[in-house]
Amino acid sequence: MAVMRKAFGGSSGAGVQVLSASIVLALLSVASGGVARLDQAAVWLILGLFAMSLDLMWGYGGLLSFGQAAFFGLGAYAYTWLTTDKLGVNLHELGTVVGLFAGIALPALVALLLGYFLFYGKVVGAFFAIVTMAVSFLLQSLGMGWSRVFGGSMGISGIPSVSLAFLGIPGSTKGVVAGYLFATVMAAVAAVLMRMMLNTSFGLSVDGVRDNEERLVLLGFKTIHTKLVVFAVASGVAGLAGALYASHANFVSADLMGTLLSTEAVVWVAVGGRGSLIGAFVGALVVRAMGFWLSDIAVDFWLILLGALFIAMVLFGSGGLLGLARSVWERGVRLAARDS
Amino acid sequence: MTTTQLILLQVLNTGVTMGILMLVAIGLGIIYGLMDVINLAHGEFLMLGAYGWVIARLAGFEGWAGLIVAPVVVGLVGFAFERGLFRFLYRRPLDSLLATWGVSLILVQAARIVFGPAPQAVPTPLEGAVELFGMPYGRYRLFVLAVSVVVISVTLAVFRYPTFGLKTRAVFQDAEMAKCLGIRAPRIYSTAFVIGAALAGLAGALVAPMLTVAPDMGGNFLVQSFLVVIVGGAGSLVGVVGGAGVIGGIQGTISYFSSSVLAQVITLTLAIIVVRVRPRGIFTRK
Repeated sequence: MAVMRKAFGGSSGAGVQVLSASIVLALLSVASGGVARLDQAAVWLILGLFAMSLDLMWGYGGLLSFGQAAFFGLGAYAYTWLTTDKLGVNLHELGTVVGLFAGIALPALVALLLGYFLFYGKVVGAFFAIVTMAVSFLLQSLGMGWSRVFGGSMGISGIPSVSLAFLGIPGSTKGVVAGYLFATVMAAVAAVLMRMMLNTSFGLSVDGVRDNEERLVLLGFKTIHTKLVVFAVASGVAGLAGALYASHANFVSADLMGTLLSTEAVVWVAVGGRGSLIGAFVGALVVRAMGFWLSDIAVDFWLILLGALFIAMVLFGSGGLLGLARSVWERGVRLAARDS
Repeated sequence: MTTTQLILLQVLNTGVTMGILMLVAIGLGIIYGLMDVINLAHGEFLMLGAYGWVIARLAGFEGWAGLIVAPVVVGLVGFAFERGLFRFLYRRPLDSLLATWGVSLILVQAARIVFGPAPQAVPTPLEGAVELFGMPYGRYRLFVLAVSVVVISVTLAVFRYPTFGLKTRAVFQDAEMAKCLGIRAPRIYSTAFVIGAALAGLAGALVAPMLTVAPDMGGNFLVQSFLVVIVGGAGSLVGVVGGAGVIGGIQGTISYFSSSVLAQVITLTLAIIVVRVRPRGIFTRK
């Protein structure tokens, strides 16, 4: 019990942070566009959860994935396949719950398989990034071309939302408010679970692999196993986010597995600052909200701005919004000190 | 058409695929091998090259001008980017990945704004077919094959024989020692980068009449070139050319029997298996 309390006691903070961010977003959304805008905001929460999965990979594990959306999309499709007639295994309402678990399991298994080849092949750093990017790109092409399974360029629509009606519990997560609450709860729970994992001794070995893998190997750690677990867990979380997306949007398409979403997530994590989970979550909310607001003005220039963000984050360091604010503050303090 | 003729036809088509892929991958491979920069905007150099035809037509040049405009313009663009951005990223592979992806997004969107999002067709400068082994074969495809063979041979020779090639290989092997011996590495980097960009631009101009030209056409070629570098190893030009031969050959053959998407998925699977078995590529000696 004491162990559990210790692990949980140090982890609930992540849930509180996610809840606070979600409440702030809800207030801002309702204030700016009424309750209906929560529908859009719930998507951002789901993408925030997706961003946290990439932060687990990149910020904690030190593995920059340029193809994280491959797992997000696979999760979304796993949910879709179990809740529609696409593959002939429609489980209807039961499927909406089983689909969430399948949305975690399928991407995690794919990640284990891929990771086995890559990590034993000593693929790290930039090479890991381009291999994952190729996976994401080709899954998207496959999805576009193989319409019998992935819906092709039309996508798949009419996907039901998560519902517990088969247990006799009324209501579904279809409504605007219910959908928002559901996304909030799932993101918070996932954040707590990830934090719990990172607070264990395994979490310490993840830090070790990122900071100095060679030393860990010399100390007798099987670092390849550590990386495999991080990759699988992060992919499972990304897949959960994908399944939630399918449930919320009632629509999936091959773009969900593609390079644009994969790399957008990299921007979210970089903007929010790596290695804090909540930073990635807020980064996704801020960048998506900015895009939403800007697309009213100039939809053409959004991608150019996104590109500029990529270049800016390399030129101005890796601390994200927080780090940038801190360095500006420190520079100001230094200047003030020199003047006086 | 007899079986032999079908096979010959297939060999020629695969040769065209291989040639284009080599032209694109050489640039990516040189830039990675020399400076540890993975240039995610390399596909956009190809895209700009393909729009070379459109630019040439807008400028009032007809016929073959696009083929000459493309590598020159793309080489200049490459030079500008190398001086303005990329040279700050040498030996920082992860940072270079992020920054060059930013450049890629900007170039794709800029092309969308300037040329419009819809794919455009480019007329073939060389109409008709010639009789080859008793069957008709597109003259333009033969031309592309010939140009690729010549340009790739010249490039290999340039990096092999003249002093420039010697210096480049010295920097390739040990940049610090080369600098100590008085080789001006930044100049080598700059030249190699421009050559790589121009080759991608030429490849773009060559494929344009065979495909349609679209702002996001570079992505596919970029991913193919990754696979080439993974399979062939980034250690040498020979590795890149060999890798392009393998990937292009498999692509061409499978897409003849089945869809090109399936061919890509199979090549990716193969590349991932190769990574496990020969982490440094099949053409790199230990």
